[in-house]
Amino acid sequence: VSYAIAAYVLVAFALGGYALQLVRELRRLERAFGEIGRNRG
Amino acid sequence: VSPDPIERAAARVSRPLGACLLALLVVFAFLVVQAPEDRSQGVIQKIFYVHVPTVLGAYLGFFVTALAGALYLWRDEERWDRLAASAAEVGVVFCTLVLLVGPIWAKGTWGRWWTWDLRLTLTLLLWFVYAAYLLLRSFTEGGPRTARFASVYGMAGLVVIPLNYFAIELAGGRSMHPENLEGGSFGEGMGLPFTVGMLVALVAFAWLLALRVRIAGLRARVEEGELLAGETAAPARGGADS
Repeated sequence: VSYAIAAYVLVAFALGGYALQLVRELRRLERAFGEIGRNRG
Repeated sequence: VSPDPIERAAARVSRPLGACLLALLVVFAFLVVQAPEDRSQGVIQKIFYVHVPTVLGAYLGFFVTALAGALYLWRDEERWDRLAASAAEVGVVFCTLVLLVGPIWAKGTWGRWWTWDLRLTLTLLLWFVYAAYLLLRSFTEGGPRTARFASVYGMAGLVVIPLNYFAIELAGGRSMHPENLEGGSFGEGMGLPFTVGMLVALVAFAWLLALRVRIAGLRARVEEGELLAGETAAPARGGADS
């Protein structure tokens, strides 16, 4: 049972962590792009 | 609003895909818990419902990399190169999981984490090919030369996928890895969790790719905006010096 649980936990953490990192980076870039737009405007 | 239609499409679909993924994950978790235990392997066989879908994510990532690379070479539009690089990254994430989850299953059934079986070795090779693709991209300045080279490399790397898929047949009965799935090879009650698992992988892949494509597009536009800001600031500095 422990091997099966380890496999599912690993996939959940890895894909969840990667998705979280992407969402954070997307928010950061959206803010940066918004600032550039405001500075140029 | 982005001028890139791929980025616009990614922005449109990312939220619905995320919501769909959450709902599918709940159903998938329920189905895996409810799925019957395998008679010979027991509960460890349930790793199968997550192992094979991660392979789908990896194959899809590398297939999109090659396809977008071909489109870049044909159309010479930067957006296809951004899509190729994004898909390679998502594909490598899935392929890494294949190489981590597989050995956990192997340890529980074969008694060892790794064996130089043809299928396992070719999966490792596939990972190296596309990890090298990402490394090569990160070590270079970018631009059309890098994009052209990456496109050709991404397409060439795809050769490993059919070799990997047919590795069991190529090994001629000497492979320890289970054979590829065929119609009717599921036990009773195993088909539905497997199908939903594949759907989860498909939606997760599409969602992660959509996020990654949006990031790549925004990075390009932020860099472009900073360059333009630098160009407008430069004459003012030059004027002050003279």
